[in-house]
Amino acid sequence: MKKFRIIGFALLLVMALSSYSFAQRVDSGDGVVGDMAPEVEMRDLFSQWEMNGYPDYVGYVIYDNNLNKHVIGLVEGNQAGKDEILSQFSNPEGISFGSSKYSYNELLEVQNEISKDAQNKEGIYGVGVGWTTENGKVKGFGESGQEFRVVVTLDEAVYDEYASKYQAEYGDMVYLEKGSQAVPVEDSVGRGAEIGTMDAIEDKSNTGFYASIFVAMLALVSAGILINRRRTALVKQAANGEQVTESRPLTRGEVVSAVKESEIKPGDDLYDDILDKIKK
Amino acid sequence: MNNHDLKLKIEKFRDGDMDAFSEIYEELKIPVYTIIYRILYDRMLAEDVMQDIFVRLYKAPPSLQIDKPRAYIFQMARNLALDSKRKIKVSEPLADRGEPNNPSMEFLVSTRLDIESALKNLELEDREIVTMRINANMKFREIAELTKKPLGTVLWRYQRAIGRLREILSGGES
Repeated sequence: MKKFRIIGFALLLVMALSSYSFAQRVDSGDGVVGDMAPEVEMRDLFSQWEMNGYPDYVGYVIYDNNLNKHVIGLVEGNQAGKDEILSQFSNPEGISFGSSKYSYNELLEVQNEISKDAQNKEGIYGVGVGWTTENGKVKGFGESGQEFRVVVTLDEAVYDEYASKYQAEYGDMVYLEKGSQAVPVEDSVGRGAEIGTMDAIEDKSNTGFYASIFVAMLALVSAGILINRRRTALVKQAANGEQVTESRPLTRGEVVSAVKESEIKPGDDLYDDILDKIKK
Repeated sequence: MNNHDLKLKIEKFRDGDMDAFSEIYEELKIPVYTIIYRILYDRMLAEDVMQDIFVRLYKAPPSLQIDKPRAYIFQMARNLALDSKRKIKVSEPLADRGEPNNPSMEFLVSTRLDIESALKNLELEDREIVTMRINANMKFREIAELTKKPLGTVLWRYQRAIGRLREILSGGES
């Protein structure tokens, strides 16, 4: 518990310092305001998303200490989404982009479902969208180690039961971690902690804790971003029959486009046949 | 054509405007037919079901109380196609009709991969979700209502299906 509290305080401290430093530099009027523009714009964008909801192409937003930049995880590297975000920045160098398998909105939906399901269940202590910890280290998900998942903290006694249930229903959108006794549901706090109290969250349901960080939009990443994509030979036949050879796997976006293009038209005479039937 | 426009068209057609009926058909023929075809994988049967749907629509247009006539029509398409598939199952398996239902990877590779073959590799429910989402532009929430599954399950199954398609179309590896 102490360990998590320390991590928590450290994160909050950095957040507070960041905010303080940010505010100080913005308000100083000493000519550095221009340097802060990306952060100001980032804050505005976050506020806008928090108020109006996140676009479906956003999976996560974190602050990468190594890059000294905010990183926005785009679902399937959504280029249109990236363009949309960049269009709101006068200096796009202050932000970086990553890739996310799931959108934040999708994860929230799953979180809500599991939270509802867990209301009357014994042994589920926390459900949140965010990261987990492993051997005391904060750990994200996906290839980059930055992605979010729905993290469910539950008692060891019910772990196997829910592992198979949630695995079947939600696959790798959900990550289960073992925790210990928490507090009543009615003490829930925060969007990411609909079950459990802050004590429980800090102690073991870091899900809610990190979700709260997400809300603050200042999660910290101490590790650098490592992208190591396996490259494979690919033979793809496009929907139009043309064969395309590439040296990498299709992206999910390309698969979606290919399925979209593969829609099937009925015969040209079908409408006449329908009219004939109607007349009869 | 969004639900609002579709409702207006239905209202016009209800008043006897056949042009409105034709426009509804033109607008919906591809997504509706794609949904049906991906359940049946038989063009003749799919066209029979398609006729059935539009004749029914003509004779009994969706009530104006229905907020989402697009989803209503897609649901009708799905139900009738599934009924038709069940009837075939009793008399003659689809796999015996010259259109393999679950081809092996060897089959896929040797006959050049295409989207339909890859889609056939998915479970029917997953294929439906992918088709309704991508080809019929339905919202996940609408698909969840239509298939009577939790939204999260629909989201997960969709993601899993896209991942599987990606795997197949990338030559079996991801």
